[in-house]
Amino acid sequence: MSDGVESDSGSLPASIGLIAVLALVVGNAISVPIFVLTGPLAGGAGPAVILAAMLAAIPAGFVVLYNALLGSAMPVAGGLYVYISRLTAPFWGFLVPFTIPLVAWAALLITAVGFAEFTRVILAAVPQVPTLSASVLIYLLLLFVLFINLVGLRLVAQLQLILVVGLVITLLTFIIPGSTAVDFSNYTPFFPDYGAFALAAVALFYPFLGFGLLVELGEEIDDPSWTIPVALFIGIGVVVAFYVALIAVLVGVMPYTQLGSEGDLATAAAVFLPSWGPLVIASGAILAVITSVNTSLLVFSRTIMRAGRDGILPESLSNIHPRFGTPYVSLLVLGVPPLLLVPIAEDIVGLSAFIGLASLTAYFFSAIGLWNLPKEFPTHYETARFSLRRYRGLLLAVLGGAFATAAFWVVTLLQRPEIGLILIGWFAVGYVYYRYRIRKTDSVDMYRTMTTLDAHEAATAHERADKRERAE
Amino acid sequence: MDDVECAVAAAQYPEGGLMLGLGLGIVLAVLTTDFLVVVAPFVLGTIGFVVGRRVRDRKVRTLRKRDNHAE
Repeated sequence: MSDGVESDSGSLPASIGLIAVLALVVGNAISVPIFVLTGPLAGGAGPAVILAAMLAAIPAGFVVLYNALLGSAMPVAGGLYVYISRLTAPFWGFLVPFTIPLVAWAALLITAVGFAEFTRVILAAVPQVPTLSASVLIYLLLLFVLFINLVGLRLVAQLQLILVVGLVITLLTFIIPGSTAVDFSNYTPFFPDYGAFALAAVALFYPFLGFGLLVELGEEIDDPSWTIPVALFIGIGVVVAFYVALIAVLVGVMPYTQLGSEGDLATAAAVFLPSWGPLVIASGAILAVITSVNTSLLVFSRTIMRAGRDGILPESLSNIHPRFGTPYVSLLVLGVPPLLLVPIAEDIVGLSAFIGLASLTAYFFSAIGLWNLPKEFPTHYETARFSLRRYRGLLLAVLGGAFATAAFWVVTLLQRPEIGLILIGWFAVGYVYYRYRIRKTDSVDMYRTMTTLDAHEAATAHERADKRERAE
Repeated sequence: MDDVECAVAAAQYPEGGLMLGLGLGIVLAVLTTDFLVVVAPFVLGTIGFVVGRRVRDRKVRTLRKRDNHAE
């Protein structure tokens, strides 16, 4: 398998640089959970939700490290699927695109709930605006985001940049005045419910998954070997700071017993801001919702496209639109079903835990894949702009990440075993489908495809090696 | 890897066994005591993986024998 090369069957054009990449990753990570999840989680876990956010940052830190190492060595479209299938086993890799539709639909449903909640706040405050039901607004939002994703990544990135600036202003409007209104007596008791605290840590891991975005877009990023690690390390610093500060203000200005709703941030803003405060928060939440939906579709469609390109999912999923250069079939598969599922979105904590668990599974296998990377694709690893020594930093990173993800898995199973059962049940269905696809094709060819890289992906390492030789 | 090994490896028996073991472990824990959730999925998953490897090795041997007879 070493540095294996497969036939090339088309790639996406590189088109976005560091600033746009930062906007994509920060916009995705500080969006929905901050506005929607913090209220319900704080209502159960109390002030300990601050600590839960910090704990969630531990596996997230490993996710960032893995993404930086893998993305720097092997920038490809559909990153996680490619890494796991090529570096651990084809079936584990196959589970990524097979499970992604469920994760994408769950993510879109959480977003839809948040959008409805905060739109209601704005509509109630502006009587001149014609009344539209929340569900109509949700459908309009989902259709709009699907449309711009179909039209192209450059447009998505440009729109994201504007939205993220608005989002940051909103968050600062909440955090800075809010920090002066904190009542420290609200921080006691700190641990009212240990079970809810554990579940909050898992649920709060979900927003950090925005950092997986970059490796899925590897092919479309300018100088990915440098841009990916730099954007990831800056991004996680920014996101953790916003995250913890905002949660600390929320549980500091209101007793946790009064929290529990998706719209709690707007309620809390009314405590220390003038009458326009809740409106600013609601506007920020709507910006955040759009940035989340935006990037969810963008990222997940690339993974499915890549699996279609390999032939382990129907090949039509890899079709790229001749005019817009986007994987339009994958986008439709991900973007249309949520339109039907919007009315059933209720248990957002459960949905978040499902997303967290599915992602932890993938990152457990990517930890193993990372360990195999220097052995399986030595040229890629040696020429990467960011790498660690195998028996020093890399070993520590792999063991730490594997332990952190496994620990979160156990915590989720203890709190919500039914979520583990649903996930494993889905994987079992996936195994049956995987075997069906293998039987339908030439199994030897399929195995070789799923354990080697496309020609243009393999060529990047050799180009880097040539460049280095010339420089020396 | 030769074609026989690739064809058998493509079926991913150890991975299928691991997943089956994990699922059985969670079901066992749900049906008995919650604490088993810490142990049962991992133990049964490991057993499933080992059994899957044995199935894979046996399949490779069987296919090789068949190829040798055909020659």
